[in-house]
Amino acid sequence: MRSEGPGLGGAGALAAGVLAILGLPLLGLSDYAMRVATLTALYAVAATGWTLIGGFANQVSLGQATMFGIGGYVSTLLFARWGVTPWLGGAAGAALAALVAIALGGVAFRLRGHYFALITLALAEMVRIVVEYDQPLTGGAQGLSVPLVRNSLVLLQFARARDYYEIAALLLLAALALSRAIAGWPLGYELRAVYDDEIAAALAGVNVRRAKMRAFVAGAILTALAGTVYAQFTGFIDPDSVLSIPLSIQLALYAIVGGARTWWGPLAGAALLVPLGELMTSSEAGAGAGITKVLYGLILVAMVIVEPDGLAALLNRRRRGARAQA
Amino acid sequence: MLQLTRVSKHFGGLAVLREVSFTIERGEIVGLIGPNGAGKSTLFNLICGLARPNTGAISFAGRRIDGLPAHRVCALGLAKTSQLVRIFPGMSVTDNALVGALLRTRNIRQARSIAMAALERLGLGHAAYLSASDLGLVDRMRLELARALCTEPALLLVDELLAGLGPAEVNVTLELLRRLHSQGLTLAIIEHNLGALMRLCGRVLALDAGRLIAEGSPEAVSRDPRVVESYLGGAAGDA
Amino acid sequence: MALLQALVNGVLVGGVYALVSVGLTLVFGVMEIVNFAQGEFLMLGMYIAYLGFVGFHLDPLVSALLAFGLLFGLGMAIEAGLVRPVLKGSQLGHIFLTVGLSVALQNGALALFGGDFRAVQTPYQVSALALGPVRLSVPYLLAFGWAGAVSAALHLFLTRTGFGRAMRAVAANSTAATLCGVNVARVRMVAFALGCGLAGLAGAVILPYAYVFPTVGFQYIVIMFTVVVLGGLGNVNGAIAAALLVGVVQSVSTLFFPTVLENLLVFTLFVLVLSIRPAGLLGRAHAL
Ligand SMILES: Nc1ncnc2c1ncn2[C@@H]1O[C@H](COP(=O)(O)OP(=O)(O)OP(=O)(O)O)[C@@H](O)[C@H]1O
Ligand SMILES: [Mg+2]
Repeated sequence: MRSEGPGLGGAGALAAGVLAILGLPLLGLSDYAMRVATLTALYAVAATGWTLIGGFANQVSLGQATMFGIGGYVSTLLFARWGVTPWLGGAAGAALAALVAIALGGVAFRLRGHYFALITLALAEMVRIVVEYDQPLTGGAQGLSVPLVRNSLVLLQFARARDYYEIAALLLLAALALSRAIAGWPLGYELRAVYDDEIAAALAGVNVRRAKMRAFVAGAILTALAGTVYAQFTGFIDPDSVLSIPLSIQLALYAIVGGARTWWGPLAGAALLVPLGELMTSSEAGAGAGITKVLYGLILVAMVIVEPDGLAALLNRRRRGARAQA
Repeated sequence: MLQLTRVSKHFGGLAVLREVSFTIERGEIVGLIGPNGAGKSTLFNLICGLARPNTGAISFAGRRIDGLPAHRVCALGLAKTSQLVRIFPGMSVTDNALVGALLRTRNIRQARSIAMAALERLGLGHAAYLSASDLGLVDRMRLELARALCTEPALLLVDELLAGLGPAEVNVTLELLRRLHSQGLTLAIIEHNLGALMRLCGRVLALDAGRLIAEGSPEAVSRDPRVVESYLGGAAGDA
Repeated sequence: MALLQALVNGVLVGGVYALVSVGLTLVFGVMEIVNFAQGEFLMLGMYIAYLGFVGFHLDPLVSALLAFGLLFGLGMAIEAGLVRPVLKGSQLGHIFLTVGLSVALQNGALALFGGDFRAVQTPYQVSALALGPVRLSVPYLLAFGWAGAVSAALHLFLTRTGFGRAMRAVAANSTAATLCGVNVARVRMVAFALGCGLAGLAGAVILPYAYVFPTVGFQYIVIMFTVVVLGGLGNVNGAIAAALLVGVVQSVSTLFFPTVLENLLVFTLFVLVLSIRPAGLLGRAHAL
């Protein structure tokens, strides 16, 4: 099946990619490097969730962090209060995220234009306000710690970063496989049609709302699952780290920089920017906090002006010579 | 197979269609004429579900379709091509048509062969692998027609397909429409080119300022004093 | 009595919301762009007034003019250099251009000024007028007065001047306006700059009663969107009415709910309106 955009070579390259992702720990990297790699994989999954609706269908969500936060909070609350294993908690979080997406899409997808961005932004703020307000349940603005149990696959907790990495890498491969498959499914064609012209799509018989809804729900589930693993991995979540607008923007940024219309773009963007961000925040050390974020903002601005389709399009252009992009 | 009963549409205070009623029978080719701004495109948009009438009823194949969204109407076998051509510029020519075929099969390979067949039929086979944005205007119109055919319509609404075509291309396109008709497609065509309509249509409807002012054979309608008047009054006789 | 007081406070705050939201809705009407950096322009206006106060003992209500001028200029530059190139592109570019600007400005302010909450001390800061049983806080009243004056001036500009009429023509239909000889590019630039300038001015006039910090714009931005959507995207008069309404809802809700939840009610209103009347409470149909 043909996937959209430049595929990364043939089956051989694909297999090599899978092996590289799963085999990274064999390089004997430091624990710190493995932590960064884990974060990269998790953000790449969350950004892939954003891309299914934001990139494939051009329906920009500014509240994807809500789904990430739902994943993190649901599994952590179930675990901390009732000892439910995060494997089940993650499923519950994904289910709740899907329901929220259905409700939100039900309102937003009746409208065209910027309403989806506005309504996802508003919802993100509502969820955040509620979580910060209901302190007895959610820990409020102070956040929530994951009870420490150490090294238990059943409870999704490990002593070494590389074990978390393997979980994150498997999730990443599943997310990429789903995203790539969707591009070749009827849904993928419908989403590309919606991207180009919603009215023409409807005239061609595409159920535009249903297509958007499917992409949004699938993306919500992926992002929520990433949120659950993130919570287990960091051992602590608060509204700033998993429910904030800046996180929503960050996820979109990864996808846009890598190429929001391709299945591998979000991974490329995250692989480039997450380590860069970690490097800068660690060297920033107090003075000039915020420089990294300034840079993020500027990259975003430059990217949408120079090449809104991201690195993918640059590669594409180089590969096909100087043929002008539409 | 299509029936409109006292259909009206207004945008804000502007009445664009007033109590329009007519029917189209299976197997017909019906022309729709009228000066610029008469409401022809709006009428087609109401029928195909892009907008809903303020009052009145539209039925197709025995069921009410006004208020249904466009993709549902399309699924019932009623397709439309647009006056301002609407294709998917970011997709390949084949994929454009393939999207239409997805209404009939969810199997990509089958959809692709339906799409290829439609493209061949319209003389676009050679362009199948181009990007749709690389097509010229005439080919874009053909592509939109091919996409519409891929949805396997029983009734096709065509909004000004001939505008911008040279005489030779007009002939080719008319021949094509006639062939589609002979294969069982019912057609309703908006056209300013009266000569072409005469050669194609069995019956013509004339719209002026949102009202149906004449209906009958092409010859009769084109000689109808009110129709002549509406064209002369509107566009100083450039029809 | 508390209710009356809350109503009055709500109207006063709503006046300022109107000032910021009018800029947002104008830009949307003319360019079909939602300026997600509008809150950051407000923040910049606050810092300009703050620096004016600290450095030159300028009253914020006076440096409001300065803030307007500086941000108007910045707005022109941003429109010409950054917005124009993405206007023709996809919605993703429209949204993330201003989102990116917002991130850069917010964190630029953080790097420059640090995260501290800052305020100015004006002589009228705590004074209030008693109007029967209702107290009118002087800084709120002054800000409201500024907002009212500017809205009136804007109204005159849009209805009485040739350029203002051209702006409304572009908002209604840019193709038709081009055909009528309107210089659409120029109109867009001025509209965007006006939006920025108004936000900056609003920032300065609220400084006497509000803290300034790098993310302060964010507190306003979702409220502004609510106002603009309630009023009907692109509808200036609608935005003013909706701004007063939102101010009142917010202020009255604090009588019944904890203050931290005041915005929850506003956002709920926003989602409700979008699901029931997407064209806005007072709006013309701009959706679908
Ligand atoms: N969405 C809309 N909002 C407001 N007015 C509209 C809208 N669509 C069409 N109109 C108006 O309705 C009238 C009829 O337009 P329509 O496009 O149906 O005419 P037409 O007969 O197809 O003309 P033409 O021959 O030029 O294609 C015009 O005056 C047009 O301005
Ligand atoms: Mg027309």
